[in-house]
Amino acid sequence: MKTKTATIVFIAIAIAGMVFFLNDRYQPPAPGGADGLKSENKTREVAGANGRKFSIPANVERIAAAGAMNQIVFMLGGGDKLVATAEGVQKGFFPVVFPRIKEIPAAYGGPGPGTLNMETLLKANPQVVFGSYVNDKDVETLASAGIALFGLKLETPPDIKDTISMIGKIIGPEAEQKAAAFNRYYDQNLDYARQTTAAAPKVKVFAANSDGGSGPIGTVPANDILTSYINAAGGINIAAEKLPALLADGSATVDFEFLIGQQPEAIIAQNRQIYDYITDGKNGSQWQYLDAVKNKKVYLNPKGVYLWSVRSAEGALEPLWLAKIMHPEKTADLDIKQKTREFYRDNYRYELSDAQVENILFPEN
Amino acid sequence: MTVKTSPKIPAPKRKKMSDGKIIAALAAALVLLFLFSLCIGRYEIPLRQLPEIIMAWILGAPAGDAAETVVFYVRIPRILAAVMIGAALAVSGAAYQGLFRNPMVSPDILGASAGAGFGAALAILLSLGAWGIQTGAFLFSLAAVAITYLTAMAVSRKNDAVLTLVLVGIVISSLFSSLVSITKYAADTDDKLPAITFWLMGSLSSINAGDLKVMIIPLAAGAALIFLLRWKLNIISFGDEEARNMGVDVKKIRPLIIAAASLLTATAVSAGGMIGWVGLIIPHVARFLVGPNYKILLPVSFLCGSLFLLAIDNIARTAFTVEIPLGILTSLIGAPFFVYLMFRGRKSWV
Amino acid sequence: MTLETKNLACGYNGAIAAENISFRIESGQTLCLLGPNGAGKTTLLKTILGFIKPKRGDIFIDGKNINCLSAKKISQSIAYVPQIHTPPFPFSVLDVVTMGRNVHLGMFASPSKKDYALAEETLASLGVSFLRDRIYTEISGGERQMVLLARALTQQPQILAMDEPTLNLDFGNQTRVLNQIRRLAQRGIGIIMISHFPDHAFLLSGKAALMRKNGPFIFGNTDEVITEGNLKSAYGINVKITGINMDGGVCVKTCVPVIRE
Repeated sequence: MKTKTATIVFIAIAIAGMVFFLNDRYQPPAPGGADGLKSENKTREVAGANGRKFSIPANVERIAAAGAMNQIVFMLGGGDKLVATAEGVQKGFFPVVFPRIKEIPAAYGGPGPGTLNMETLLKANPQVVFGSYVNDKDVETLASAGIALFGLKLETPPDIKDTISMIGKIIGPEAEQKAAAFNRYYDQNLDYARQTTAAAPKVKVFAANSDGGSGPIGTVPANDILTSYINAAGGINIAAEKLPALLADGSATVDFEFLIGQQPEAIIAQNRQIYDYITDGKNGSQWQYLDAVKNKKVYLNPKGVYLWSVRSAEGALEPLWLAKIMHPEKTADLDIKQKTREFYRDNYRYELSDAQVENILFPEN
Repeated sequence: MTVKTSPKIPAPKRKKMSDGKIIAALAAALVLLFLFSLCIGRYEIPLRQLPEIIMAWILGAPAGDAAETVVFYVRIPRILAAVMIGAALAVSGAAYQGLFRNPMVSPDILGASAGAGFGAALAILLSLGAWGIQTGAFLFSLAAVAITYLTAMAVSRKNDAVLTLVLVGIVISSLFSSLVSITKYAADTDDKLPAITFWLMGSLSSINAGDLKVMIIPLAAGAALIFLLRWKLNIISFGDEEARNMGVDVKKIRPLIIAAASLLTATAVSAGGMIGWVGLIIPHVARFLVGPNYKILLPVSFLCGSLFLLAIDNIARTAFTVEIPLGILTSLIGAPFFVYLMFRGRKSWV
Repeated sequence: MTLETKNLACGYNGAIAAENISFRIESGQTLCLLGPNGAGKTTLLKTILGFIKPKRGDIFIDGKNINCLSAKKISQSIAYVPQIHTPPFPFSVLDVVTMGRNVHLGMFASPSKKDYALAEETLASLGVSFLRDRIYTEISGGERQMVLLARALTQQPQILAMDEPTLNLDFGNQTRVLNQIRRLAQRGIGIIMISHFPDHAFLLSGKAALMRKNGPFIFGNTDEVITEGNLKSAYGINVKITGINMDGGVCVKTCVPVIRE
């Protein structure tokens, strides 16, 4: 009996001890400042998009970025400062315009958005981290290490501009200017698309993004950024119009009855597989019954570093391209190839060859 | 008088090691694995540096350099979490197996995991942040078990409480799984949907010290209650009526054990995501080592569960360049291991 | 201690399995409960043990109605020896026997050294100490019956309620179990035992009760209850009852069914 009580008391004390110990050792870092700040003297206060305030050095030299943030950092001239990146951007077209990206360690990667490998990140020793989907717990852990983690959104055109401004501001004055310039350009494109197509009747459009074959047909819902671009370029996303509000964010799917009922005037395929499937006359699918397919108004969405219709800075080109395909008569003087070349030259400092431009505008995969 | 013995039975078995020695060996193994886990990770820390770092942590010095940050804020919380969650799931599984008189039972049987999955998915959908996700998972986990229990009690007739609990548990689990599917359907495909899917696969990649603080009390409470009821758990396995005659009021004890085991499961799953198989397999292993008496089975399950999950988490975070979700690893390793245990083919359930 | 029922009617849910059951036994007496399948013997036993609520009538332990007694109190007075079955987990015999001590333990308590010692003594008193470290699920039927009996005895009850304790035992083991029951009765324990064999009642030479599907409940001394007429009305077969002179001048009755060619 005595050893039993003794064991119980011992275990209770051990647990209580651990609680107090942990409580003492691990305090959440005080808001407004990171402890044990990495670099030097001059600091400035910046508010992150998720509300938390950080103190960061006046000159940021070491940056880590997730997903599309990498492209933005590179665009704004911060490419040399990148010390950790995301696995996803180390393939595809980005390494072509920015070869060094392949040599930077990937701290973001693996299943789930925002899956951050903390140890790899700490090893790379950044001062600021730009993330999109951010886990609050990571914010605190990194703050304890003196690293500022920003959760930046890219869900709507205003988001994209705010994020670009923020990143520019953090990188430094030159980047800040570039960011302002880019945002002007972004707005210009949207305005151009709106103005040239204002008078024309809205074009009914369907964006297809599954991969063909069986199963429901995926499309983009109302809150997707592509819908905003379509609206700007004088079109209507028929799925966004007709699908219930509950699915404004999520997976939107339709079936052929809906499509045949709606008869969109143009179909924008988001990937090559679905494009091939839709335009293949021999596979006996119901796409044949759609006017848009019969009139050959099926278009493959361009894809450069990013698919132009998803959340990234390269989406600046999407409204132009959409306006061109939906209202060709109003945009006769718009040369998409030229615009593409200019974009890559101004933002990526890269000269595209003819073949590359072709591939961007009509991607292989 | 003597009773005639049948000649087929072999001589009485003696355990190779006494129970106390087994527990001591397991505890020692846990300590060693803990120290080993501190040494491995993507951020390479030279071995000689480690003792200094650990001493600094114990003495409470603030994290100086990155190596210390890694050890203090990344590795130690994660290792401790793996130990606690593994132990919690194992003890919970052992308790449920005794309660349901069936060694094929896992802690998910009354819907704790499915409920947690829905709570987390809902919180992710509503952008409630990390603490919202954890709280949501925890609350819905307990709610699912409560719904199962109350429904089963309302529906069952006198003598089949256990069977009714299992059936209602299956129904409620399915219900919550369907709700998770609905949540996934409404979730933004770029961020939230992958986040939900990832949570459901289980991972300790975001564990920090705050999580530990939140976990300790419920885990200790749940484990303590089950441990106190260990002898009653032994008796319950003989059937409700026999148990009643041996002084165990099953109607009172059953909800207590369900509550304690669910507390353990809810806490473990809300911190680490859906990690399966641990609660099912580890009690089998423990039974194989020390027999079914809960007096020993519970501490051994506790230790084996910690060892198992800690070892698996080490693999999850270091084996490949990308992090492998824990739920996947426990299934991949657990399922074949379970088949192996069945091959062992004992005369009665090990 | 006395156990008494008055006009007891018992059954599950809606149906009444048996009614108008009145009997009384005291410590040191044996009661053999006989009757065909479905007559309600097990239902009656479970009602006495408090597992099922009586439909009508009362049960008294030492004059107190069991409705007023806690389940624990009942368990400390009457111990249940169930039919042999296989539990899901391979406990050691010593652990199984010690489980009986739980009726004397608190809600969160575990058995002490004293409880284990008592369990070992009980095993010894039944002559089966050698089973102590064996696994319960691996021993023979006769051995299991002894273990269950030992478990019931560690509850230190005044009365044992046994459900067909000789089921599936070979002839030798059956006899040994019956001997053990006699010995326990001599030590002062009251025993109610369900059986399918009228010969058991004769061998125990205590009280007997006969439950019949279409006929009232009969209770009394074995000689009065087990008669050719009663057995015919209960089982629907013809039997002849005769006595055999054993050594020592004791006459033991036995029952032989009439089998026609």
